Amino acid sequence: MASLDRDAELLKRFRAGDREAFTVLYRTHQASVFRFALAMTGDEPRAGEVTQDVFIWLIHHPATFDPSRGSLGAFLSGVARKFLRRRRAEEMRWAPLDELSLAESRSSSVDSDAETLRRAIVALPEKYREVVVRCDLEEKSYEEAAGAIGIAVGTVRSRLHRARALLARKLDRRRKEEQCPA
Amino acid sequence: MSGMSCREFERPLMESARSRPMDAAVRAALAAHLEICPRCSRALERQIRLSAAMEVLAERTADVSAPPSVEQAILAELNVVQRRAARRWIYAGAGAAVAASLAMVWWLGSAAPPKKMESHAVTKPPAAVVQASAVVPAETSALVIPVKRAAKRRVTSASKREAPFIAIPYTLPLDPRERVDVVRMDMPVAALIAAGLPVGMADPTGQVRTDVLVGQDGRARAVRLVAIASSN
Repeated sequence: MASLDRDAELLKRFRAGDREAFTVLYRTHQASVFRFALAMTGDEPRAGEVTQDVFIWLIHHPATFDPSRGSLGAFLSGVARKFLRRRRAEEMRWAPLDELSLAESRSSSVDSDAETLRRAIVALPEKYREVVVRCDLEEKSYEEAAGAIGIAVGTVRSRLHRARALLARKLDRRRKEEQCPA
Repeated sequence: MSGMSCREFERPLMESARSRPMDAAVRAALAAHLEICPRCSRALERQIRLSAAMEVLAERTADVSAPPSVEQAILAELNVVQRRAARRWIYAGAGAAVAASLAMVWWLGSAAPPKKMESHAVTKPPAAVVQASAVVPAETSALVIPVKRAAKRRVTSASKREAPFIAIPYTLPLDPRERVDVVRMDMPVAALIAAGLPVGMADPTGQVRTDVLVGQDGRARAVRLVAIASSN
């Protein structure tokens, strides 16, 4: 609650022309926005671009944040989600088919489970990827994830179950490939 | 619970691998099922491995943050936005000042009565108030109003362009600190003559444009000729 008040106050000060207030806001929230974007894209430069898009958007639309509807962190994560989706739609328009469907096939045999998992998460369909990022990487509750994504709690559970089944299968396949390389 | 199928254990199995709190009865049923179901046991193993990898991945990214170039780009955008906003304020201020000036001009033009041509406040009485030389009695002839040097300079420069004020006879002298108003109006020549002011005009039925110096008490103290307004 204190951080919510603090963020609201900082945004208010920024709207009154206080540049330092925005810098504080950026330094407080940039890491979580960047991490979310990185988990979703699996690519640091792209995650950086999304983070930049999110905060530049906030510079131009500071009045859009309503503290009564939730924290600034959740709000920014929602904005990041929209930018990711927009970016994804643009990439889908131009990327060749093989690049879209076989992203995970490029992992080398020396990748650890975590690295394999990172690639596997990025290759998941977006609706599954997002619940994994929210629930397992950000360790949010089902309720928080449902609120952030805008779906029912039951849908979060079923998507997470499906996503984890896909990821577990990929990890298993990777391990088998490592044990008996073709 | 014992009659539950593998499908029904899928979710409890996931929750167990994620170390989430679970109903005690469900936990017991799951444990019993795992003992007799090798397929679900393998599935749990896979899920536990997945959770461990997920933890490693979360730890790896726990300290990552956006590169400094992102902050630089954002602060640059902030500069642009703030400069643009400052420029907007300057334009708005200038616009408001122009609008206020125009409104003032319009108000002054429309608010003044027809006879009263213009009126403006003067904080100090003008130094160039002189006596009505021909007719003013001796006691009022030495009407000299001391003023501060700055005010004197200002009024003196104005009086270079305009005629000096002539004190109206038998009125109280102005105090140097007294606030006065100058009111421009057309006055009958006859009234000026009757007040003992030297008006060098042949036609006493005409009118002359004058500036009248009004004291704080609202009484006229001095007058000066500006121009002949009309003649009957």
